[in-house]
Amino acid sequence: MFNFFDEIKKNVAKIEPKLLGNYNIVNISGRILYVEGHCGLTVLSRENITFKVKHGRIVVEGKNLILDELSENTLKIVGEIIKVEAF
Amino acid sequence: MKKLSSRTQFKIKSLNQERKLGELAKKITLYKIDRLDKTITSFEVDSKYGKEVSRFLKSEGVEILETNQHGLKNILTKLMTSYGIIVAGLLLLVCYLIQYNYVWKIDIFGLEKLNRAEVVAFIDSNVTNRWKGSIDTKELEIKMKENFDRVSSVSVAIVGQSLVVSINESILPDEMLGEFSPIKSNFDGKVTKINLIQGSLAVKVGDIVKAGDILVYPYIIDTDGEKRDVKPRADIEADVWYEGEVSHYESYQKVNRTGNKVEICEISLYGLILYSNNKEMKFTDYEFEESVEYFSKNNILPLKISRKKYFEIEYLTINQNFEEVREEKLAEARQNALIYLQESEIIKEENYIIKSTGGITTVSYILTVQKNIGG
Repeated sequence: MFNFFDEIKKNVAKIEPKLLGNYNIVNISGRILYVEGHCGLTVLSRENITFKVKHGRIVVEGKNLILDELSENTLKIVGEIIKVEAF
Repeated sequence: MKKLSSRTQFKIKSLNQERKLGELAKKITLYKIDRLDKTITSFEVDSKYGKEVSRFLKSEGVEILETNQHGLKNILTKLMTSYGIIVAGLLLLVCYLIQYNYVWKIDIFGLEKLNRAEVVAFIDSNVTNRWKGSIDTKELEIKMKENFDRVSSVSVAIVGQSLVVSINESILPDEMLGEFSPIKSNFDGKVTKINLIQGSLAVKVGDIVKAGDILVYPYIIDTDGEKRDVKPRADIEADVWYEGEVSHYESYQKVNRTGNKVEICEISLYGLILYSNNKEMKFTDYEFEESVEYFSKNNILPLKISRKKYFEIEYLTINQNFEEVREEKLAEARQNALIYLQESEIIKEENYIIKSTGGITTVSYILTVQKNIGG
C-alpha cells in the first residue's frame, strides 16, 4: 500500500533509515498539525501542546490550540500554529 | 457523517491531566481535547466508549463535571426512549386509523341538469352512518337510479375518505319531458311572413304584435280532434320599428358659468379646522364643487385638506324657432333610432312625425326593418 511518509524517506538516501523511524509531523498551512509516533502528552493548554517522541520532545506553540484527536500513536492539533520545536 | 456519528463529551477536573489523557488515549481515541482552565478540560469520545471512559476516570480519581451526548444517533435514542412521545405517536396513529374508516366528503361528478343540492340531500338521507363498512354503494346506486329519472347510469365508490358519485345524465327528448313553451314575439312589429313547421298559429300575416305576445301555441289538434302537446316550431318575420325621439323647446333657460370663481381651502384634523384661507363667497347664483384628501398616505396623522370651489353662474333665456334647427333635430332623432339597429339588419323604410304643443316640438323618427321575431 502506498504510504506518503515511506515514499519521502525512500527518496532521501543519505540519511540512515533507522534515524527516520522516530516520528512524522505534517504541518498543514499552520492550521493543522498531524503527528504520528508520539509517546504521550506532557503539556496541554491553548498556547502550548507538548508531547514526547522517541528520544525527544516536541513543543508546539500557538493560539487557540485544540487537540482535535488523540490516539495511542497519532494526534492532530488544530489552531493557529506559530512554532514547532523538537528537543 | 461527523454529525451523524454519536459522541459523548466529558468535562473533567483534576491535576496532571496530560498523563491521564495519555493513558486513556492508549485504549480509546479522544477528540476535541480543549483545555478550558488549568484544571478543567473537555474532550469527546465515541458514545460506545462512554461508560468505559467514565469508569477509567473514576478509577484515576478524576472529577467528572459534566457529560453531554451529541449526534443524530443520540437524538434518535432519546426520542425512542421518551415514553411521552411514543404514547402520543401511538394515540395519533389510533386516531388516524379510526377516522380513516369514516367518509368525510361527498364528491359528485357529471351533473348537468340535475340539481346538486337535491342530489346531495338524497345521498345524505341515505347515508346516515358515515362508517365505511356500513355504506352499501350498490344499494345507493340502485336507489339513485330509481329516484332520479334523469340518471342514466351512476357509480358510487369510496375513495380514501370521500364518497365519489359519478352520474351520467340521460338526454330525454322534449316530447318525453312534456315541457313546452309557446313561441313568443321578441319585438313589436307587423307580421309579414309565416312559415309554420309545428304547433298552432296565434297570429296571421298583417297582424300587429307586441313583444311578449304568443305567436305559436305548443299543441296541435290531430285528425281525431284531440289536442296533442308538441314543441312549437316556426319562422315568423315581421316589420319591426325602431323609434328615436328628440324634443325642441321654443324658449328655454341655459345655465352659463360667468368665469368668476372662489376657492376656500381648509386643513383639519379630526374635524378641527387648523387652517383656512378665509375667503368670502358673495355669489347669489353659483355651482359648487368639493374635494377632500388626506395629506399623507400612511394616515399616521390624518390631516385632511378640503377644497371648496364656488363658480358664479348666470341664467340665459334662449329663444329658438324649430324651423331653424329642424334638420339638426331630424338627424338627432334618426341617430337615436339607429342605436337599436343591429348588425346585418337592413332598413326597409324611414319615416318621421313632428308634433308641436305648448312651445314644445317632438320629433319621432321611425326605422322599419324586417326581421325574425320568433321561432
